[in-house]
Amino acid sequence: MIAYIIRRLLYMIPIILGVALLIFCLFTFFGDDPVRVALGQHASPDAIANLQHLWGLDKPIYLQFIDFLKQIVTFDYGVSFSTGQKLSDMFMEGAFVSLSLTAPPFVFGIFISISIALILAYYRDSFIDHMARFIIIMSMSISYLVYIISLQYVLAYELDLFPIMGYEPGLESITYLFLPWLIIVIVALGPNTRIFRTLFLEETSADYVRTARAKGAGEARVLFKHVLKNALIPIITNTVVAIPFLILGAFLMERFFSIPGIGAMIITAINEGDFPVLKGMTMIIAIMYSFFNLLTDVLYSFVDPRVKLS
Amino acid sequence: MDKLFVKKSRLMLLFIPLSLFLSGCPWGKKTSAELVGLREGKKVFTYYRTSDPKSLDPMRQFDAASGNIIQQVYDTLLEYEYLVRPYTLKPYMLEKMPVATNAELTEYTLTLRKGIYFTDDACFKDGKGREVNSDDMIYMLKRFADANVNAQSYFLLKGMVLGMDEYRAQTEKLSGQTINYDSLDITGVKKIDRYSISLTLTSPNLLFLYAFAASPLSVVPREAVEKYGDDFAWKPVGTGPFILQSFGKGQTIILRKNPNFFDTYPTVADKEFESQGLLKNAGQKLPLLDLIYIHSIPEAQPRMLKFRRGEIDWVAVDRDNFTKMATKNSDGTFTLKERYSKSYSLYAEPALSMSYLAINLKDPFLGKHTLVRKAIAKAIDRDLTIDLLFNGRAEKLGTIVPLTIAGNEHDISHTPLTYDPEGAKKLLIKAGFPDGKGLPEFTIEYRGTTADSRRNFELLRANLSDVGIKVKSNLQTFAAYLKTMDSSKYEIAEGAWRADYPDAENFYQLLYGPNAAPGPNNSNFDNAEYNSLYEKIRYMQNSPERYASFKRMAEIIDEEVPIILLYNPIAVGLQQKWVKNFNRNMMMDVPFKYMDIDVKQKLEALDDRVHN
Repeated sequence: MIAYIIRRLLYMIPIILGVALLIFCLFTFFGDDPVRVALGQHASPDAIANLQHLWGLDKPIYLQFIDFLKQIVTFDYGVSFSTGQKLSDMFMEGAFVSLSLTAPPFVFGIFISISIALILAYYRDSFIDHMARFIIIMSMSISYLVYIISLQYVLAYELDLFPIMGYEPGLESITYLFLPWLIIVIVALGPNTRIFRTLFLEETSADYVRTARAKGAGEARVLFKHVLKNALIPIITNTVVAIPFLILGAFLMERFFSIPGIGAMIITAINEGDFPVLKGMTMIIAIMYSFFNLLTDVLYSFVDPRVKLS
Repeated sequence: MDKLFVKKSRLMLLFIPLSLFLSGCPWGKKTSAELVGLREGKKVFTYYRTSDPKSLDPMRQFDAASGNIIQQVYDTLLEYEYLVRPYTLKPYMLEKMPVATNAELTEYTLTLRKGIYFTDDACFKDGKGREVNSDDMIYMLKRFADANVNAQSYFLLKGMVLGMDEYRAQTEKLSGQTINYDSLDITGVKKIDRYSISLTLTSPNLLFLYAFAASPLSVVPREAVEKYGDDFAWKPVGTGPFILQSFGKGQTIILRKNPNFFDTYPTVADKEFESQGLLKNAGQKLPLLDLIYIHSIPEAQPRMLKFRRGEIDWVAVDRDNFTKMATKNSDGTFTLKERYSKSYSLYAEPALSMSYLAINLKDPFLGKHTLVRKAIAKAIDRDLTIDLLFNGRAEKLGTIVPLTIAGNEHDISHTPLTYDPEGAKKLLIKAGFPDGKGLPEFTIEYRGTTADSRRNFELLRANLSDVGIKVKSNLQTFAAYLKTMDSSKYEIAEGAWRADYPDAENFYQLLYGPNAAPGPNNSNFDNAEYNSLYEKIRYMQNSPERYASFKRMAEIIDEEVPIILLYNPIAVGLQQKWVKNFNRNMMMDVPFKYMDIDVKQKLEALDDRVHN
């Protein structure tokens, strides 16, 4: 397995290089000019030249790309054009906040979805199943924004159950995160339950399930001992691959609840043409995505001993 | 049913509502720090920001979000009268307004008020803030002119102070190095004594005074800059009315009162403001508030919800909320609907900005067809657009100058071009394009891709098609728009300008020939008479003679139509009834130092709103 992991890590080098080249070209040749964005209508040729020099944008393109590669290798993505803050500091601050917003409801939501999906699989094609599927499809048809706006209005403003918005570092943050967590769980419940239910039902028609039933195993034993275990592979794929995106936060949630995570940071960077932030974030997420893909493969072998990594 | 399943599924069914309840339980709510402060009798003001400051180093920023905080912590040599219109400069850190001391009107002496102290900080000897002196003024000017520090606001003094441009060029050569300001001097800046410096201008000019009221020219202590290095951007040490207590990106900014602040409440006010009771605190030591909480709230819904709950004291009103809460009267004033008027007060003040359509005179067709340009101007129904797009929150512009700046259309009795579709049709016939036949389809460049830009364009298209002029839109990002403007490869473009300082010159310069693209004159208008009038008014004080020149310049704009004047937006907002001394001064976005609150009234109202 170690040889497999090393080989996969080596494969990642050309992938990351390719991603770096793509990101660099996109921002350099097709993106807006950050100097023009910063100077706005007060740009004079000498002010433009001065700022280009300060930001290193007057260097030849190949040197700028080499600098970008150096940043990737050293994990030092320089400073934000707009605030002068170190990107590594910004990332660390923002990532923790984003994770505190998205990770708890993510884990929670999956657990609840698996639970409901198992129940629905057990009661498949019954009234409960039909009703649940109807509610799930209805809940999936409503926009994320509607959940945020309406729940913020009703639960926080009208019923005064939660603070309307805000964030404080440390444990104090929990006060402000309750409502966003609740919304994330509710929004994710529909799609997750639907997928997991389908996965469980697919498994229940497999030969080994029929054999287990023929041997007299009860329905609960079949579901919890056999179906759940075998359905874990696609569940893990769905779940682990989504983890890097948790760091990105939930853009809308961060904006509406004023939570200073990576999502809010990226929106600000887009508005201000802050390319070091955008390039850095995109690269970090690309690298993380590659790693988590590898992690998914490794986890397969633990969940299902039949999967051999070679 | 299978016993194992029943047992497990019951557990799960119990777990689902339980977990939903736990994640949403109300015992997550706590008493806010603001409320705790109010209950202790402190004057706590709560406000919001829509974006974060980029830097709190005055010389390194030039955006509103940073400027609004910098104004609270640092001070400038001059500032604007709070309760006087048109906007007028007055001495602030200076003892008196600078007056020319030589016959050429180029020499000025700047003398500081005595007894202004920096706030206590570890950067000073024994941690005690020292008195501000003339060396601080020289340091401020050198740092402002340093190309490695100030990339954005140097235009405020560019070409005005003797030797400053040369000094900046030298700092540019030393890029990447720490510059020793002691070894580099600006020829036109000299120390006279402990409190005074002399300033020599390159030519007679009164506009330089406005720069000394702008936040990039705030006085900063050298000790703090040298001690904190890059961190100085987030560790402000100033002389201002407030001290930064806490700051975090996207988090609440807390400012606390500076007990040693040097200024007092104004004693001069326009009659209108005096009658509103805004001089009640005249002469009183400032600031009046103890604490200010500034929450980061980028979205309109939570902002309005917090305001209605009483958790924010003052809020700007967007279009949707304006329609819901207020109405525009036939005389142009605004009234809050009865349901809201018991709790809130409404303010409306013309912004120091204007919007227009620029016509590129370098365009081979539009550049030579003045009558077509004039026909476009006459075909636009600006009243309709103000009603439909702004809900009445704008005024038509007759000249290039916004309505609260001296020299505006009323001051110079200018008769502007009006909506006249029949006149537009006649002009097209005269130009040889009856009903628009033979005219190309023009493209209008927009500086945004929002729904507002689209709606704006649709109304414009409808107006112009009524007279036979066909147009299409090109909606683009602001940066792409700026690039298009710089290249002068466009026909018609949306434009807007916000005053850098409240002088008509700042708007008339938009059509000065030498300012052509990539300068602010995007129309590339170059008219000899206009240019010579501009050069004359540039350094004049407001007077009948200056106004006569403005009038002629306004006439030239109407005759040549290099731009089509559209609107002067009106800033509308709400404040809670317990807020005192509020005046919407556009040169002072957040006048916290003058503001006050009635703590008892606020606490009662908060209690009432939460429980009802």
